[in-house]
Amino acid sequence: MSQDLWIKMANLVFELEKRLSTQQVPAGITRNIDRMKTVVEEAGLLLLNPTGEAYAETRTDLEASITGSASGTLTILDVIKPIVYVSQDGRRSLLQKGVVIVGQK
Amino acid sequence: MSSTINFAIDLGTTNSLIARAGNGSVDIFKNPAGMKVTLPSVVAFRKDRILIGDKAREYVEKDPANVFAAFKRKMGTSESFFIANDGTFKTPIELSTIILQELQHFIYTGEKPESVVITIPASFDTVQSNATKEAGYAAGFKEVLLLQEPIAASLAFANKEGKAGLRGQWLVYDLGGGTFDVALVKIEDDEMKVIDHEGDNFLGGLDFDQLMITQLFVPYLEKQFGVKDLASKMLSAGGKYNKLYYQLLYKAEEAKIGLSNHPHADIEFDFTDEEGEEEEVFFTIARDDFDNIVRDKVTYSISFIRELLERNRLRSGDIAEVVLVGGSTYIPLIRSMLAEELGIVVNTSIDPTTAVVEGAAYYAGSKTSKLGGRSGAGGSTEAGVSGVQGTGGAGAKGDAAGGSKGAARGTTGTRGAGGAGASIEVKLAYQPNSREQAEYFAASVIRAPRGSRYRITRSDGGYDSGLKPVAERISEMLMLLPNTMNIFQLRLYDEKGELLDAEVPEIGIVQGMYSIYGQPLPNDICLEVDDTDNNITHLEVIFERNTILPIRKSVTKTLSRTIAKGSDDQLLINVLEGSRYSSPQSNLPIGIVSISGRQLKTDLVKGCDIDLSFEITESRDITVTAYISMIDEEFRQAFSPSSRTVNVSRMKEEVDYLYRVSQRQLDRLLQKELYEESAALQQAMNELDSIRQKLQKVSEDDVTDTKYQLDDQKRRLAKVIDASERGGKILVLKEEYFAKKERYRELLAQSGNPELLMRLEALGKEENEWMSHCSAQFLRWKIDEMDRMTWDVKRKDIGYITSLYLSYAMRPNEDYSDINEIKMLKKRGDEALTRRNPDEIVSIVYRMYELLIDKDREEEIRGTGLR
Repeated sequence: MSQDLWIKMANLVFELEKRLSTQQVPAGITRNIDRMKTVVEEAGLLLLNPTGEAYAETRTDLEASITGSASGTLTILDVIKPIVYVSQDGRRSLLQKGVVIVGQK
Repeated sequence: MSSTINFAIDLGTTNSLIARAGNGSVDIFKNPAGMKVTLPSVVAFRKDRILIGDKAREYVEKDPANVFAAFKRKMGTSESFFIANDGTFKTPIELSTIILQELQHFIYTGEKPESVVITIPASFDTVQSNATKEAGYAAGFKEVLLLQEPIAASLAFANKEGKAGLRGQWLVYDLGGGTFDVALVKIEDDEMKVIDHEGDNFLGGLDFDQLMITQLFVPYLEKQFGVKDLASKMLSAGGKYNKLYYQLLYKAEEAKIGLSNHPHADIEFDFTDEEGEEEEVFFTIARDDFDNIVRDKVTYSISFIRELLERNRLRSGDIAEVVLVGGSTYIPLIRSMLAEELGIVVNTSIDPTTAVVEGAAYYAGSKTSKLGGRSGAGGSTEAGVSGVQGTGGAGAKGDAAGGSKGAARGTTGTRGAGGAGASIEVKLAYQPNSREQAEYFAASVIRAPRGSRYRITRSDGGYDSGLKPVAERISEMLMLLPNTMNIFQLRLYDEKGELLDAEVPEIGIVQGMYSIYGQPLPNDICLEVDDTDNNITHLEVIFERNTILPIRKSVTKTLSRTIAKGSDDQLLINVLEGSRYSSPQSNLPIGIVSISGRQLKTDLVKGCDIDLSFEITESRDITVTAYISMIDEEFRQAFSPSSRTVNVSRMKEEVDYLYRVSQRQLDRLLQKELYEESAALQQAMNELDSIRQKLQKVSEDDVTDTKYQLDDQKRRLAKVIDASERGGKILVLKEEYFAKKERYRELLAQSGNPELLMRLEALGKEENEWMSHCSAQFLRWKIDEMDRMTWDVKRKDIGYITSLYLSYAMRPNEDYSDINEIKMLKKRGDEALTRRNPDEIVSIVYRMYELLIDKDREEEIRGTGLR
């Protein structure tokens, strides 16, 4: 499977997990999601969810939309797409920037 | 050394790109931060740093006083931009220079081009063109050639189609993210020329996204959830739904892209209504809906073409085709309306995003540089930068990775720079290990030229400090990627943005992995699984030695045999600590979960999946969870190092197995008259026998320490037996391993299967890790791995299949369970050999194997039930 398809799959798994995080879900579904994440990891991708982390303009792993005022301490309020790194020959490189919404908490 | 220019830059209003021509093809460079080919043409002057591209774009709307975009439109004017943060002015040329310099950082080959082709819109006049050239020179190029964008796109198209595609006159329709241009191009006197052009600087893909929000998303949400005046609540910075606006912009863009390929796009997002209720929004947009809202804009763009044709007294029939450029031209409506309304053939053969830079690179590849040999591809020159190399890499060194807390690393690098004899000295100080998300970094920079800037980037592309002024002491919080070695580069640039020749050591910070705060695992943690082909078990590593605790992992295994409901048979999840290369019996059992037939409500059928999760806390508590999807049941057990778990019936099986293995080995040693070695083995066997007897008296729920003591003894003896095998059995297996590897390598090379050959070579590369200390079981497992890997190739090789058949056919009939059938099989086999059909012979061999009585099963052990 090509890397593009793996990224699409990773995004879908991420979205699914995010949507379910606000509700009570049966353990079986959580388990299946964990399994899907393991498969994505086995394909060499590292998925990061930066929700709640402080935002800095030095973070080139993020594509941010800033809500409200851009001054003061900014926090990542919402993650639309996760950050995806790939491991190749023992080195990591950024494959997909995280698409996030940042603002004051 | 090439004397052609080769390098080309598309310096766009919205995005810029850089490419290089070579060997007849074009390589478009990617941004090392983010790996995209496009760099947004935006520069941000934040309080303490300069940001370029994607990061700068984020602040376009939020900090307009310090962030500048679309400055290309002002090229050649006397307008300057005031930067509120530092009170200075920047001209459009200076801002373009920054973009051009940034694009040069994309060149991963390390080349430093001195000549370049830069594209300009057809509408640029002489002053604007000269301004572009000036930006090129200021960015460090010694020679700058300009090329009109429609010509560049046409060249990309011509290269794709061959010369036949370049007849008569054609239109280049360029609709990007925020600008629109259309140009009439033709060949006159063998020269491609832009005859006329038209355009709107404020029309592009972003308009379509916004139309989707205001005309499709907002009415839907207002109607569905009774929200009033949603649009203004979304667009005001402090509005309740401001965050939603940004979410919807992404959703709109995604839907727009989706609708270019599919008739429908699904929109899905969460929405909080006025009462604060969380709602799931899901609706579908048809391409027709999208077409209806953007139709007016497309019609508007076509009106420019009509004007252009009218002005040049041309009819649609005079135009050979329309070449599409710019990301927005992927929209099917644009393609169909251009064809329908104008009746002109629409050419979509080139990539609209990269067409301009690609065409410009082809042009650059054909243009000779006036600088001669110093230009283009060969340009790894260091003109203007000379000096004597100083002493690099010395200085106080801190502890290496894994070192103690507080041992900061200090390194020094100096190198001559600027040709003036003065050398820049850089001293770095930082923690080589960190458990934080960001680590403090400091450096002192001595003798840097006035106006110098520095920049720190992380090698994986996830961090960029931006360009910051150099002071004698500089400091930065470096963002770290978790559980990995983070490599950063510090680079220095002079006033003009040229890289300074200062030697700065790489900055390496390990996050999480080797920190003394986390406890590393002293041994591998493995799971015992069945090798059903050989009826033995082997170890599969779950957590590698030195992994930092706490840790969690899930694996999915398959049931290797059916476990009947109500039976005494059991499925064992046996977690062991030790070396993954040794036998399961010699490793320390740290947790075992047994699921017996008596616990089951229904049979567990061979082949069903079992999800296993393993979790080890920092204090080494282990939790094993097994979930069997077939019966939807979860088994969970936690083990702590203080309460070791030993399964008595499993130990009995293991002791029996070890006894049989040592008996066989003892016979071999005695045959070879190796009495000294056999004495040690005999002693081990006596002890095993004594364990066997003691185990008979121990019940499964025995509360004394006896079973633990016996388990310790068993492991010690397993090691003795492992070691004694190494002398004899292992040697034979090693010979078999290497002989097979060589044979398979030849076979795969002949069969032309490079992928399998690579996998075989990869297997060989790992050999050194385990060859000297592995168990016989491990080696046999590796041989099987090679056998399996090559089986598809072997089964088609008539020579191999023939010899395999003969090895079975030569055995006496008495070795088989059914003499009549084996006789018949041998007869059929001999006939099949004459037909030389490998598949037919293989099917006979399979059956012969099944009939074989002694399948070398003396060493088998009842498995765990997992594979």
